[in-house]
Amino acid sequence: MQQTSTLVPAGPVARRRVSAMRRQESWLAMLLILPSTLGIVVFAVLPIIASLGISLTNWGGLSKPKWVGLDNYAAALSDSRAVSSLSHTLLYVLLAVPTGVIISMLLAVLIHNLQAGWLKSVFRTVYYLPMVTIGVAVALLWQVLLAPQGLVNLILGWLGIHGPNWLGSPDWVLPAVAVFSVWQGSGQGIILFLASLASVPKELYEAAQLDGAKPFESFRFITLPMVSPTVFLVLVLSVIGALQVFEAVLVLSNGGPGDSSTTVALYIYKTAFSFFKMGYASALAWMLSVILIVLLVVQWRNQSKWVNYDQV
Amino acid sequence: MTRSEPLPTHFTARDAAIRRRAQGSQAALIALLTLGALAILLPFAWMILTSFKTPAEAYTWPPIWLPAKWSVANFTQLFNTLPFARMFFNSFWTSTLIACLNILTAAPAAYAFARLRFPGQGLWFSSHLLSLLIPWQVTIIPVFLLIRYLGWYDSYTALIIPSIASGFTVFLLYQFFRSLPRSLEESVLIDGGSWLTALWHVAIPAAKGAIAAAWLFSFLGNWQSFIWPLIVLQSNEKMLLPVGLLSLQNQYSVNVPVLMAGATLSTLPTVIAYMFVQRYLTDAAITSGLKG
Repeated sequence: MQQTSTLVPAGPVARRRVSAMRRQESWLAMLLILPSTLGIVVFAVLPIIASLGISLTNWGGLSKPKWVGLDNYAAALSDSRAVSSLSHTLLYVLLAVPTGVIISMLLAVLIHNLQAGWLKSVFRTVYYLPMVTIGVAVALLWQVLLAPQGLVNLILGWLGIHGPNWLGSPDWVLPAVAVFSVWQGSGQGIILFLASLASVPKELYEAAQLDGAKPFESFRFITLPMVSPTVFLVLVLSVIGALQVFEAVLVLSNGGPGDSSTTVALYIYKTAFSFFKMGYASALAWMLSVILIVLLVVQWRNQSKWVNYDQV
Repeated sequence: MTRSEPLPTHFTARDAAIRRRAQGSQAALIALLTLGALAILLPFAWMILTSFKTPAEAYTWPPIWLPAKWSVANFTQLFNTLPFARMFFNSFWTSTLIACLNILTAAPAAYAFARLRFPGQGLWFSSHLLSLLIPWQVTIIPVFLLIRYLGWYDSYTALIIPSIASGFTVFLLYQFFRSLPRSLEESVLIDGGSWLTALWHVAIPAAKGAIAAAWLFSFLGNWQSFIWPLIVLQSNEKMLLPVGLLSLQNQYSVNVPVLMAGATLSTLPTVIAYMFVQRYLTDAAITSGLKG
């Protein structure tokens, strides 16, 4: 960051020139960041503060807000729909995140070991395809696929499995949404893992081979440690995404049957925009944020146990 | 794996065995990956095939793959029910405009954060990061109330203005500018040029590829954007594609072929476009490590 001082020789005149350049640099920089920063402050930073305030009121958005202190937060803790939406969300995170990370890791390792470059790029393109579609469109598609007499159950039938009524059963609806999300989202993890795998030095594998390591041992003791920072990144991104799952449940099951797939994000949306309880919805949003932050901190703390940042 | 130099003769037998095993494992890899690729592609094939079926054909068990007669009746019905072309156009121009505005605000800001030093730098940069990380459930309510207070409800202003600044685009371009070698700009500065000259004549031209990728990402993000248009746009003629598809679901929940016709028409354009620009997109997805 010391670029200006390295350019200009020392001395009183030079120093004055340096400080003039610094001032010029500051002004220019503030001018350059102004439009973007203005937008961010007005539509992100200030709303975050406002949301905290709104969460302390009873407000339908039209009448005057009524100050209720922490009542909304207390109410949420004894609101059985809020609590159950949280447990649905956490179950969904447990179903979707590990599956997604493992599958994308596995597919990336397979693609990485292909010898033909063109095949690598074909498979990478195919697996990334769902990422460029409109979420509602592919969710509608999966609603058809997951119907009791849909394609999924047809294929399960070939394997001798009698598939359930995925979206109509309280027990199967969240696993079904997780299947959809893994299908839709694993392309992201795959390309991140591919980039990370490509950066592992080949000499490591050659050395291991000379020492007689088996392929699995190479994977366990070279690949995994070397890509562990990417595993961490993909894990964090997946948790952030899964905790806020909304579109998929809205389209696939609209939170049903009953409330069995109502996630926190969907419950907040309905509380705010169907029942117009803006204060209560804001309190719920903050509680979700706190859970998100706690999960991120836990992952951050734990990473030292398994994430290896000593790149060769 | 490929060995170019000739091997001593007493190795050939062993070498051939190794090569045979390598080829065998390549075949196994391709088989597994093809299975996975089918899991991605079969649903799309099903979507397209179903959009040509009659409702009766879509509900038979066991399901049939091909329609008896390829008919475009579902597409006709789709266009009669929804202003589909209009929705498509709405989505297209708003996504294009917002992506351009994102680049115009983000490129200078990203450059300043990556290269210049100024008071408050850390604070403003972390504000951008904060906007990326905060769950949308937190900000959407105050922003919605602000939009309604300003009288922008059900207008494109409500859609566009809050989207002009994008923390994601700033972060993506910031990563790029930081990776540029400083030497080029320094030569401009030593010659007595200003930072603005360095930005305009050196950094921006060097960043063309990154800017194109960021634009594509931003376009795609807005093309896919669902919840904000769902909340602030109400009238039919302003509707964007994703919300329009949702309204199609409400009207046609029992007419699967029409639903699939809508899904097909809204999926194919981006999928086809993606085939041409996929390198840009995936490379940018890697540099940022972030998307959606």
